[in-house]
Amino acid sequence: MDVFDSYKNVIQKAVENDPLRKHRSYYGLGQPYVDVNQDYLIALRNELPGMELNEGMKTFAKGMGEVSTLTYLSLGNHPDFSYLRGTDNSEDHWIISGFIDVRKSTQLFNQFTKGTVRLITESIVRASIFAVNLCGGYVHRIQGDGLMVYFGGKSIDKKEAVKDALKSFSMISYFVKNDLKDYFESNGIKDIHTRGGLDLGHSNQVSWFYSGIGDSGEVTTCSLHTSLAPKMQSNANINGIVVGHNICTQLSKDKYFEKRSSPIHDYGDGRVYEQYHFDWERYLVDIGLAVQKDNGVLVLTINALPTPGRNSDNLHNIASKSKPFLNNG
Amino acid sequence: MGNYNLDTEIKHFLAKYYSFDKIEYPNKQYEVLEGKIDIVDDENAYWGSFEVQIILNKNEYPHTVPVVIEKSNVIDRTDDLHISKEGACCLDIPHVLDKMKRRGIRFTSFYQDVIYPFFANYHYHCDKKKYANGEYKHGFPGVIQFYEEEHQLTNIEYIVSLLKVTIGSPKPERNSQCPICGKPKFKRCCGKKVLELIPYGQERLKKDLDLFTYLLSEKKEA
Repeated sequence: MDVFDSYKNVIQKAVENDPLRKHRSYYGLGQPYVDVNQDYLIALRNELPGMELNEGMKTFAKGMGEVSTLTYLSLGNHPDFSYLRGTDNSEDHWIISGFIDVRKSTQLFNQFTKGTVRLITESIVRASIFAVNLCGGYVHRIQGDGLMVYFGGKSIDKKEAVKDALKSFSMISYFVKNDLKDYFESNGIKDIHTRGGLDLGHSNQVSWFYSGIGDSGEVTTCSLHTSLAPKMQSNANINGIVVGHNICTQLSKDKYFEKRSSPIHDYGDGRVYEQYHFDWERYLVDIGLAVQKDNGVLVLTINALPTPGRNSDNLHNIASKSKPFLNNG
Repeated sequence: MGNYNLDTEIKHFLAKYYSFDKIEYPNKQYEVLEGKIDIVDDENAYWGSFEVQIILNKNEYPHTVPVVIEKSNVIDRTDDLHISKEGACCLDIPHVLDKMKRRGIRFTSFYQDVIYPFFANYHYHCDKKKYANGEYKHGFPGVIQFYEEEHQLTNIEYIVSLLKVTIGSPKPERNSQCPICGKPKFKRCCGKKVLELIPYGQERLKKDLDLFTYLLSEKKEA
């Protein structure tokens, strides 16, 4: 079972039972349509994995060394800096800021009712939150089908946090590219994809503080590198992730990074800050979280352990291309 | 030109299959890749991986057949599993490989259509105790089986005549009387079989002719 299957299944059921799709000929194209399947949508929403992970996710989490129940924290209140809430204080501390969202998702409104779109968006957001939490990240803000997240904190090693951030964004990119894209395309939704941006600000580059007034605020960061992350996100290719130079230097593995032709920031004193395409598919394979099919397509795995309950009938298509011989008789 | 194509093809392959790398090999005539083949089925279930070495003849590419060595020792070195003691994998009957070689291969396609299926078939065999599409018997009996299954040829005397004409030169005219069965037009009878056999190449067919001729003489003596 794929770790994201539960989310994908809900999306499939929502699409297949969308009233506009099922009764398009009856209601007519463009005719206003009121969702009549609220109960069904609520039931489907309840099928999304909650705080308690399903078996496939538990196995995956266990393989990654995580617990079977994740702690989903409230937004805008990073636990290591929550003491700043409502105060005028600040603290300098390194952090990795990340932005990721699903592009071209507005097309969904052309094909489905808003109830279905809501459930699709919710499934993608919940899957993304799962991936972020699984990798030790913190979801700071949700915006439609996008997330702003932080990786790092006071009890986490910086290099490990960088790896976690890359792993998490890679998993989200995988989910949309491998699990959802083909399905959406077969339902007339073209070019759905993710774009992600990540950057690390060192402690002398990041200030944590409470932004807002009264309860209308959040514990957040003031940093060039937090501000650059969404800019890098907007520079990413289809299903791409762009990272800042500070991320690159922490991993010290050039094979994953390709420098973009233009820097993301000009300091105005002759110095520039570079941005890089991150080869997340190669990274997932190298760290043992994905294997490749005959055609190179990635499949997430649990530390490369064979899938329990696999059925060799499903090998027949590919295996029957081979008819071996031994020339020593 | 040949080297340029192989370089391009290897670059393309390494950009697609992340577990592989090109390694230095003492004999500069060869390009050698080492990496891991992951077996994943149609339902995305993962079965296991094999560490392999793939050797490509740079000078002959694309008219070459890659040599594949299984280095992880996952496959027991027994004849029944179609692997040599050194781990060289018998990917297919030489006739099929010779045909590919004569046509010219594209390495990435060869990986997808020949190398990967061989290893997928190993897992299929482990589970079902048989290969997905059967297997050839070892040695010459496998060649006899190949002629029977792929070309529906079972009569040894006829095979020998067919091979003589296929190897011989000049070939009979398409509209002339068939020198094998005597029917009025060669193209309407044995000519079709001759055309099927030509792609295996003179060298392979000459070997087959020797073997089938020997078999025929033995049968006659018996």
